[in-house]
Amino acid sequence: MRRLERIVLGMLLAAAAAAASAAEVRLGELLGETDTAGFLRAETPRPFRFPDDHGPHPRYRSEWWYLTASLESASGEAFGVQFTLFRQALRPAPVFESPWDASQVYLAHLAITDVAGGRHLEAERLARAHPRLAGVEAAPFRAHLDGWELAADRPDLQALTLSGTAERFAVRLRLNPVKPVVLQGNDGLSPKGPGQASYYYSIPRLAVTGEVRVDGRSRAVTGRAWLDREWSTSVLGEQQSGWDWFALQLDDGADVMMFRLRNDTGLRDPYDQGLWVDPDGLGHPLRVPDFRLEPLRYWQDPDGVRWPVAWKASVMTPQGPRRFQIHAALDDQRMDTLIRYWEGMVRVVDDDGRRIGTGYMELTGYD
Amino acid sequence: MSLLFRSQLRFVRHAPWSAATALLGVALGVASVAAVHLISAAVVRSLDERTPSHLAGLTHVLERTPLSADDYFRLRAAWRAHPDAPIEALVPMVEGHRLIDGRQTLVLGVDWLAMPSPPLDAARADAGESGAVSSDVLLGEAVVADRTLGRAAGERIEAVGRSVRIDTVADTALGPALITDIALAQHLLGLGPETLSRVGLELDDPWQPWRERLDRLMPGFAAGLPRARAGTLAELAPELERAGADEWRARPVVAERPEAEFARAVLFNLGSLGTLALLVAWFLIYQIGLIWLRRQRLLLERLHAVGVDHRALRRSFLSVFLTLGALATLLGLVGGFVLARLLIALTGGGLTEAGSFGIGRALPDVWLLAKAVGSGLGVCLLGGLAAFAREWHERNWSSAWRLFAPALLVLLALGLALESTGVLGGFLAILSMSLLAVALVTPLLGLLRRRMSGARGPLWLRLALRDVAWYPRLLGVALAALSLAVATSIGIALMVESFRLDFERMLDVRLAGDLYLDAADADSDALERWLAARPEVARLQAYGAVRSRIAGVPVELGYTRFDAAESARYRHPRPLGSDEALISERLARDLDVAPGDVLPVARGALTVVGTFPGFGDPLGRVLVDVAALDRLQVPAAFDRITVHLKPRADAAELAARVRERFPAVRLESRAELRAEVLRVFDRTFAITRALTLVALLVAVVGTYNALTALRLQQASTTRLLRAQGMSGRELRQIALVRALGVGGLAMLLALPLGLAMAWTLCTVINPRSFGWSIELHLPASGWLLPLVLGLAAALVAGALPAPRERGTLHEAA
Repeated sequence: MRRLERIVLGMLLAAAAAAASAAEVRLGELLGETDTAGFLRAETPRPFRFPDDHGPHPRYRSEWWYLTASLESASGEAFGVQFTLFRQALRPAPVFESPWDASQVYLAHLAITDVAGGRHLEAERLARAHPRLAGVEAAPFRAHLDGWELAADRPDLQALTLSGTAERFAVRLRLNPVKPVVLQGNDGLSPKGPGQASYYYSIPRLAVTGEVRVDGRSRAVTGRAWLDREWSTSVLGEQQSGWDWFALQLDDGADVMMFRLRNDTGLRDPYDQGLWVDPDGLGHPLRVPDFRLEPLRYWQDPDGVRWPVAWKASVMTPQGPRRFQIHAALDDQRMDTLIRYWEGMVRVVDDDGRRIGTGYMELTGYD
Repeated sequence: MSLLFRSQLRFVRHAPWSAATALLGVALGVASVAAVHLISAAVVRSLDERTPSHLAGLTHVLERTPLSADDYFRLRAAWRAHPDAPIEALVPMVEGHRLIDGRQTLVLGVDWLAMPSPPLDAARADAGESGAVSSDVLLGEAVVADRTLGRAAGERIEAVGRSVRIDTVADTALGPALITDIALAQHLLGLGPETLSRVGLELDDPWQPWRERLDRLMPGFAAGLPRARAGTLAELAPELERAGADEWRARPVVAERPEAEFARAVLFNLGSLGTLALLVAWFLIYQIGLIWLRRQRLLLERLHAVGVDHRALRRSFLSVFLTLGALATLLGLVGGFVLARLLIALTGGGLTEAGSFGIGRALPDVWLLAKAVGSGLGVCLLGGLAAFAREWHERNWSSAWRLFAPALLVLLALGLALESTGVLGGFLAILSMSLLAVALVTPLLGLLRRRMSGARGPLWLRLALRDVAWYPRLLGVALAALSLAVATSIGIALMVESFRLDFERMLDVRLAGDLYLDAADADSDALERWLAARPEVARLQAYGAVRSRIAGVPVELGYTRFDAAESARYRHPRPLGSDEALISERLARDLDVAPGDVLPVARGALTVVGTFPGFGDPLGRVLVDVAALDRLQVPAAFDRITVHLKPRADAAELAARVRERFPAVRLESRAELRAEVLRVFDRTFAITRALTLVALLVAVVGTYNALTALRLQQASTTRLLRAQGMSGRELRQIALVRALGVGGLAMLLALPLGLAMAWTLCTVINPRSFGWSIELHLPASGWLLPLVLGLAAALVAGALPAPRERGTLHEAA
């Protein structure tokens, strides 16, 4: 996925640059587009092996574990939760045989959307890989950073738990996959551009129960989540200015991922992709002609940036064409982190305005 | 423009001389404040830029004994479990010494990714403005090397089986030091991954933005505030009390940079002196306000009688002073730049190394502009207001003084007695004693008046002294200003002279050798062997020093073979044992220890057996015998050698031979070293003396103004005396004796006040600012010269011809 790749690169670089104090890291030097010597590249399809592939792939430059959830309390209050753990390799091999070795760096974002309260809160943490600080283990699965943790006791990721506490909010969720792993792109090889690709798989639907706490008030919640996994050494083209990404879970049991790349030409990017997942878990790749996304409404933030927070979508599914609209649950779900982007919960409605699903949207490159 | 304002301007046009003196006085005051601000801001900027990168953004340093990575991670987990704890960052650090290329080198390693988000300027500073630091430092593939190591960027250091690139050469203010990632530092120091030295802490401090604003308004001001006391982490973050936070000791991060604190303390002292001229300028404005109001009184009363209310009259009166203030501010700003350059030149350019300033760089400094405008307009407005209240409303300040005096006495006592009030408390004590002395002026004149009622002597003498005693309103303020300026001059001069005497005594004891060799860039072992073989050499003493820590506090650790002769240099009666140490007064103060106390060190402990002054040392110092280095885990390396020659040996000849054979060695004779040290000492206080002189100049302007006003007021009396046959010579004698009387009275007040100031500076301000105390000496040059200068200034003011100023009712109307 290019969208996440760019986010990862940008955020890790900025974070490293800011956090490194004396080391104002030269962005190009740290993760220069051409400086990929020694790293493996995603070039051809590969067999995925689980649970190993739930763990890290340190010979690839970037990697992430990405979980979003649409939740509801017993009284009908809606909440959205996002947890993302990024891994970035600064060197293809360890520099020191020491747990303090800094060749692998992790960055995490934890965010909550309290729709009824009109609040979107986010937190950010950064650390080097260290058994006591940050890292990912495949079996038993554990992705953690400085107190935030996504972990499972079983190799199939059943009984997954997410726990994290930030200054004003906390989440403690139990997640169980209700659909199997689906491979994105071409059998898991997701092309990025000419000669560039990533390995990408998803668990498009997990059943969620648990508890969220916002500003001291706790609620029991239930809902559904989406888990994305991706790793690569590829980089994005200079002509691409941003992307709009959607992971939607429809109430009829189908799920869909779509992203639209925005480039300087104003033309549709030939690498726009998607995946339609039937209720039974079977995935159907979406190519450029198979889906269409058009902004319906913009929201202007206090800095004057206009974000497309409502969309019109049409998708050619195996069952026929589908049309629906996507509306942000809250207009302001900006991530006020080292790199600013918009990532938040959305409602999916039909042309009559009736809810037909929920999901998450990510908007980058708007300024 | 209103009629009243125009009338006031017309009046000022008829009183150009007093207006000019007011303008000059306030402009000098503003210039003094602006100059000190410019210098201080440049120095503070430089200090900030030199903040070692491993401390950027941190507020405290945490320690505990023992400290392991496990302790750190448990603390970190507790912090993350209590997000309400006011902690922003916890940063593990390791620190130690290693001989690199035969040189004692401090190796510092931090987890860069745990650092708070600092301004990237800090990084640029480490890079010496040359650009960014490579990510290689973050990864532990490269280091930031301190400039004192004499290495260049791109060079490689071979150590412990690794070849490490020097990424950047920077002025870290740490001496020979390498700053790098924690993993490389542990490797270089031979430490395991479980070993940590301390943990950096960034505490969420809601007052920090205000503190920063205050420091921008008054650069260096924070050094004058009472120092934050060390405590436990549980005291700083009670939320973590149950997580063992009481086992962690927290020290403010400023204690990690004593050099910067030292420099800021100097700036605070300068800032206080800079405002002295402004205070004196206030007296001047007040006095001119009184004089002008007296001259216009009839006019103003008539205007009031025809319906102009008090507020309108006051507004028009003050508007003239504000106009004067605005002009004086402009002049003062320009003068400030000139004065700043002069002051820098007086120090021999020493300060310019610390930073540069210029109009282009300083003008956008809104703090400077605000301060200058506030000073110029504020002084004029407050001086004018006070004068108006006194003269128009006949407001008697004596009742206010009766209220203020006890408050000032309390402030004086607290400032002197409570060390926790810091340097600020010391200066408030000086301000209190100054204001109390000023309050004595009127009663003193009253006493003089009573004593003079039956005085005998020639008529001209009695007339002159009568003038002094009978016009307290006219002369009292000038007298107070002159006393204050001279007293400050005496206080500063006595402190500097006392300091110099103590310093010279120290040099006489310490500089016992004949030749002093710095072999940091040479093969010191070869040099020592060569010198030992010289027949004219009686004794060699090799020294080494390293930045280290005692009880967590950064110190300069000096070591040598501490035999009886070496101990005698520090007035210690016997050789130092391997478990003994001498420490500087500053360190004894910081650690609150005295001879007999024990200091825990890496392996065992050291007993403090004596203290020494350590003048000029920004860091606390510890001196030990080489045999103690094992306890401190510091490898021995010597880079300075003192040569003691046999009687009648030729030091110059040996020096020439050393230079020829070891060209990299820097060499000085005792006389050269002593002269150089004293030259630096004298330069250090050049700014202090110059600022005192500026204040004195303003006071002299005020005295001249007051005497002139008196002469103008006495014009009819003078004409009468002349008509009755008094000669021109006798009239001139009256003017001179009158001036002498004013000067004498001012000196009478200035001498005790100056002595009190000197005592406070030596025994209160210096220990609190720099950690050393000075024995107060009273050399005549310290107190007599300012007295003579003050008296002479008063005489000159009296001898100068009075300008022709009109400004009477008829002329002004």
